[in-house]
Amino acid sequence: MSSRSQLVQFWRALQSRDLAFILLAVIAGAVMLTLLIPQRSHLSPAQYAAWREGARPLGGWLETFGLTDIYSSWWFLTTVALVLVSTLACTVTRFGQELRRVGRDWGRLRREEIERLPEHGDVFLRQAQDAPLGPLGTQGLRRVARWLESKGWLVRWELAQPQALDTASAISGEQSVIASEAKQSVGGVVPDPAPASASGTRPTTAFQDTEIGYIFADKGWASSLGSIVFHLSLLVIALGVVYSQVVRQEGSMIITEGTTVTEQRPDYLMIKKMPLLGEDYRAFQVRLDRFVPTYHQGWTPVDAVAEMTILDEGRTIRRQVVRVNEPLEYKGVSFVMEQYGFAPQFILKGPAGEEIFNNYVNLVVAEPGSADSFEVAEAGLSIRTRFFPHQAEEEGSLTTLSLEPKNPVFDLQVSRGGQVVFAGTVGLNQSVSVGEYTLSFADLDYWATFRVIKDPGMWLVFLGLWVGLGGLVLRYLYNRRRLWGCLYQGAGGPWLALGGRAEQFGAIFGEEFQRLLAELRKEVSSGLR
Amino acid sequence: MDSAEVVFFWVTEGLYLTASLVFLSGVAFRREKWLRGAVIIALIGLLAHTATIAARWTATGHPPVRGDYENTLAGAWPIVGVFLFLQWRRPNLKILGTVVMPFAVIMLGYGVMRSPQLAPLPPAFQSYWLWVHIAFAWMAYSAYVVAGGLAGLFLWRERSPAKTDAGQDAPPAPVLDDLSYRLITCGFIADSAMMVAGAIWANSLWGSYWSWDPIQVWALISWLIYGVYIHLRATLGWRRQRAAWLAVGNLATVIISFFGVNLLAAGLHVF
Repeated sequence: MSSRSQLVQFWRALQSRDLAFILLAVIAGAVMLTLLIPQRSHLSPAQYAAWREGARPLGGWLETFGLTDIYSSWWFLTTVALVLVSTLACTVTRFGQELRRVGRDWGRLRREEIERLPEHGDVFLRQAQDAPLGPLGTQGLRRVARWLESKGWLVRWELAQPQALDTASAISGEQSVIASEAKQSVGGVVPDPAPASASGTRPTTAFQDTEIGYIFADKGWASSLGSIVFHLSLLVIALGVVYSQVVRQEGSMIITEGTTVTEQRPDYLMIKKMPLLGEDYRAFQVRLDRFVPTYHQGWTPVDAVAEMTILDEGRTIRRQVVRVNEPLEYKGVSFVMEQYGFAPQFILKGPAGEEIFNNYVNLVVAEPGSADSFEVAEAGLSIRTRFFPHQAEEEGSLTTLSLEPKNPVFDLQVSRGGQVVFAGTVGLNQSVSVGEYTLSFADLDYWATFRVIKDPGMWLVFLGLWVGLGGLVLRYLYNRRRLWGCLYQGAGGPWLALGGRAEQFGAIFGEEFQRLLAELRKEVSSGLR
Repeated sequence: MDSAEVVFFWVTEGLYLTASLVFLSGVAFRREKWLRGAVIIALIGLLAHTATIAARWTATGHPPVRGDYENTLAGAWPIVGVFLFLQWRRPNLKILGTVVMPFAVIMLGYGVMRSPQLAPLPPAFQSYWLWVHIAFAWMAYSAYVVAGGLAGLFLWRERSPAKTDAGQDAPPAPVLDDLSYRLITCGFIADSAMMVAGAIWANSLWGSYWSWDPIQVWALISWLIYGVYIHLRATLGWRRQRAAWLAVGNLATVIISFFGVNLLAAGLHVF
């Protein structure tokens, strides 16, 4: 088999619906597994290590097969890539077909072809005395067209043969008027010389002499484009995701009230970036001026406001209030608030009153009674703390009445060389003696951590999402329906054979068609104008 | 729950339960009039339901979006609403009440067992995109549930077309099939809008539009499964029984996505 035919076969295989369903089933199955098997990306390193230890040897096997990191596993990413390639193959192949479908079937159908349509019926265009339809009902054709247009249909009508006009024009003298009006139907389009039939094949026999004229009406044609737009959007999203993953840089910073950080590597706690491109920094400064959390009844956080200032090249750019859901954005960098905690100021003085240590210490003691430690290397001290924002005593034990720091107290255990040298409490603006030192709790501020993100690929993902949504709306909120009519000379006078087809929801269209037919019959009987 | 809310809630549950029983009796005993009566009971129930939601909103100071109780309270409303609207447009769809109303009863019952304590909105929920996300979620899931009911009705109609007088006036099976498909497509659009709004909200909240959070993942699975349904209908011509069974089966993913994930898995996105 030549390489070209192999390629053609491979291209066709990619468009296979069975393949697409299998791949989607694999993806769905894989994501279901993530609920059953702990995923490394969802757990902290300590939690994952603990599970791994407890789940031997199964944990090892799961890890070997990539089941503990499914979203980063080669087989999952390959499956996703294949789905996208398959979607691309289908979309490219169907693009031309769908575009042609937008205009296809815009033509005349013979009466017997109309009778083969899913929905069809006949209307006798009787001539009312006060609304003459003209010889052979030619006026009727125009009036039906106008009536359909009033119902929101895009209509085109034409006469069958010039000979059909001779008889009419000889009696009514309307030849030039009707012919020019036919040409002035929607868009002024002149009928195709050999239009297509409903089955897509061109009629091979001449039109019947009794057929006087034809109508074609279309509604919801834009729906045909919706599918293409949607599938193209999937590719835009895929492109955006890949680009975003390659260029995205994400890191974490901790900022204490009153301090400034610079958007440079040293001030990051950690950085995560694909190794393909170098790290990227903008070198502006951000200062946390004030941090104010709000609690419901003292316990439930309901808001957290960070008043921040952006500085660039020594100038104040702007001040901004940052909240959860309202990140700070500047020069393509987003600062997203993550967590916050207490940052007490501790001052340690020596026997002569000299200041040995004076710092705001970022402690993770948000949970009442939880402990955190810090070191004072200058004095060789290790200080373990528990924080009680609104200290009270309950049955001899320390407790807190709320999370709001109304009466902040630290419970301290100070050690040196493994020996505890002090255990006790210290309140705000109070001091305690720790051996030869004096330790003061001088102030209480907050710290906040921010996720710092640069993702220039994100806009492409969101563009794809919006376009995809538009495609779905086009496709499914509009249903493309088409009507064909053939005006013919039948028993007793002119008849209109009307038939229709919908691209989707055929049964519902059937009901709509019957209502349309009934309404048209009623209009005709009362004198269609 | 405060006292007004308690009263309204149990009145709602009682009316929905009564409507369910009257619908089922109307079908079992072939009484068209009973179906009309059941619709009126359901409508009164919906008014009481609206009052319950209003009372909850007043008590908490925010729309009911927090926790299982509030989500089921708010989520059941559009399901009943969509059913009542549908049967108003097509009176021969009253029989759908035999499926929709018991579903609403179970949903509310589940919710009230899941700690309906009052709680303020946490900072993460304070975003306009939350309302957009949740509104589309309710629209999507209510459409899927009612579409599943229509599919069930279709299957029942196919098996026993002349079984009851009450069922005689139900739309023909092909129309039921199409209506179910139509609702699913509407639900799919709302589902997609929900995910777009969710991605925008997630981006401002977490700095990432997608975090493989369990609830996000199950929402994606639901979306994919309904996408497969639409594909099978549109391109492979699946109709009638196969499509109906698939529509009913897909409801399972909706139920897991709405209820099960919160119970089974913790993540960023616990609602």
